[in-house]
Amino acid sequence: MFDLGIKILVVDDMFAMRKLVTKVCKEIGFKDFTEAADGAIAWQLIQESKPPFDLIISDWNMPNSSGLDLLKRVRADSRFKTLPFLMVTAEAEQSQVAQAIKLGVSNYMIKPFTSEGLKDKLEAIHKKIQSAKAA
Amino acid sequence: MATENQSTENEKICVLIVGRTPAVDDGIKGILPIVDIKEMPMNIDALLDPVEPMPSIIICGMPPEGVNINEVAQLLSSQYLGVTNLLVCDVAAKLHRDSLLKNGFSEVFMLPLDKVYLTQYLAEKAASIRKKGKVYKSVKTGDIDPGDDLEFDTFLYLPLNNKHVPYTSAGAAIPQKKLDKLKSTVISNLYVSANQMNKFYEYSAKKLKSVQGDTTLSETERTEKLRNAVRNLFGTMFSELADSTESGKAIVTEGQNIVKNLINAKAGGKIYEKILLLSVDGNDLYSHSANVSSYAALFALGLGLANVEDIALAGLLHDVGLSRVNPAIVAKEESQRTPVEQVAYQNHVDYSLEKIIEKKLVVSDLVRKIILQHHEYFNGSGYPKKLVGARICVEAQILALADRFDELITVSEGKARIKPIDAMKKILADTEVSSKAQFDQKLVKHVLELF
Repeated sequence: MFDLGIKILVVDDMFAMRKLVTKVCKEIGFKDFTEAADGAIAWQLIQESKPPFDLIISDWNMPNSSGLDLLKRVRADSRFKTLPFLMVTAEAEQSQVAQAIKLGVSNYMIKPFTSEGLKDKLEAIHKKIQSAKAA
Repeated sequence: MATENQSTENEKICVLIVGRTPAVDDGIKGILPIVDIKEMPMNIDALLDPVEPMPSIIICGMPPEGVNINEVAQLLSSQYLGVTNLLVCDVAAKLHRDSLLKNGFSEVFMLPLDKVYLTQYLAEKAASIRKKGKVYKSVKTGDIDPGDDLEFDTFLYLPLNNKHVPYTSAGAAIPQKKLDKLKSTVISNLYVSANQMNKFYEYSAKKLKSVQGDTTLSETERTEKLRNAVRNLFGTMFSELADSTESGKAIVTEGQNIVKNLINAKAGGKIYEKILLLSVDGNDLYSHSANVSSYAALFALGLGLANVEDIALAGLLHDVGLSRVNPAIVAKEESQRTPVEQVAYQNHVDYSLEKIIEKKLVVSDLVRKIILQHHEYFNGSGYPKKLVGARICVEAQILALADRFDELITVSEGKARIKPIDAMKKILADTEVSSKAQFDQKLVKHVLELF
């Protein structure tokens, strides 16, 4: 599992959903959160943050700049090629998930989700990173 | 092993109410004796702490200022995964049913319009959780063939006593004689308990397959589908959200599809049979609008009028302006309204036309004219313009006639059933008395000849 001290950026246009994601992460044991209400703000934070974020959890469907836009920007920058990126999507957007995978999303989670669901996804991402490192 | 949220027969069902409103209280009245209520204000911080044990049903009221209802929907569906999650909102609320459902509500009830649906939904839900209690669903008698062994019990509804009485038992068939007797007493619906409805659907699907070698819809399903279509149409029309030209077009197309469905179902057969076939069972505005629309189209077809589709579309839309009238006034009988309230009620005609403009619906001049004149009466006692006689277009007269006809034949609690032909005879008799002569006697006679 991830080290509980990692820096997490939570991106969602809905206040309630940012609170929910943060709450579930706190239940797992994480402590360091930053919130952003859309992809553009998130991108700015990602570039400026020192030390850099260790994990992005982003909603897909947001006005202004979507989660997919954010993912594109992140992956286009060599500094963030391997930055763990978890996308949260509504059921209706499931068919578009293939597109996100192509663009390099680390994993995705379908709403509504539970704390167990989020934990599983984070573990899967962590394993993937570890095995990539080993290889 | 029993889990925490599993209810047994004797346990009460846990209902979580988020943001309690009088409308919510009104909606849960029927199931109050069997529920335990937990309450929560509608604010995000409170909602982040889920209640224990897990509720069986969540009912949300209207969101207060500053709370985004879609956020509440998403939050609740995550916090209470798989729990039925209902929104009870005001019909004129600036909300779209579609997006609310997309964001996680299991159902959205717009009151007062959806009152009947909410009551039925909760009663059914409660009965299925407790595996106890009976809820009845109406099925068209036309879907049942004499002599077929039925695997479900059937019931008759007695409106005067508001009771369902056993008619036939599972395993038995309904003989031709009995069915004919039902038809002659103008009972177009039998009732089946909700937990046996799947057996009815199996039976009707099998029957349709053997007749047509293909699965189409039974009459019961067709009217259910129709009423749902009207409900969706009204949901969009009643919302006070601004609409684009595109959505206006979509609404008209939806309305026209409903109308075509009504008119297609009328090919062949006697008018009397068709009324039995078409009537949507229910004492709510959706059923009323669907019925007025189909009866008006039926009369217009019988009289050989050219603009049947326009008449039917006007029939669907004629009362959409009611969303702007105080629901308490709408619910009252005309005789119980004060003069001021009556004027407020009469404004619905103008509101219906305003709605059509605001929602950017492109409809013909005739549709607008029919709606404008649908409460004008032949003797000049109508409104808003108190038009007399032939100054009211014949299409509007037909719609008004269909409106009155539906009012007379609709089955409702505490009211004796009346046969369609007797209803029309009563309207004809009223044309003899000038104070009651709301319709052209000649027109009513022509329509009566169709029966």
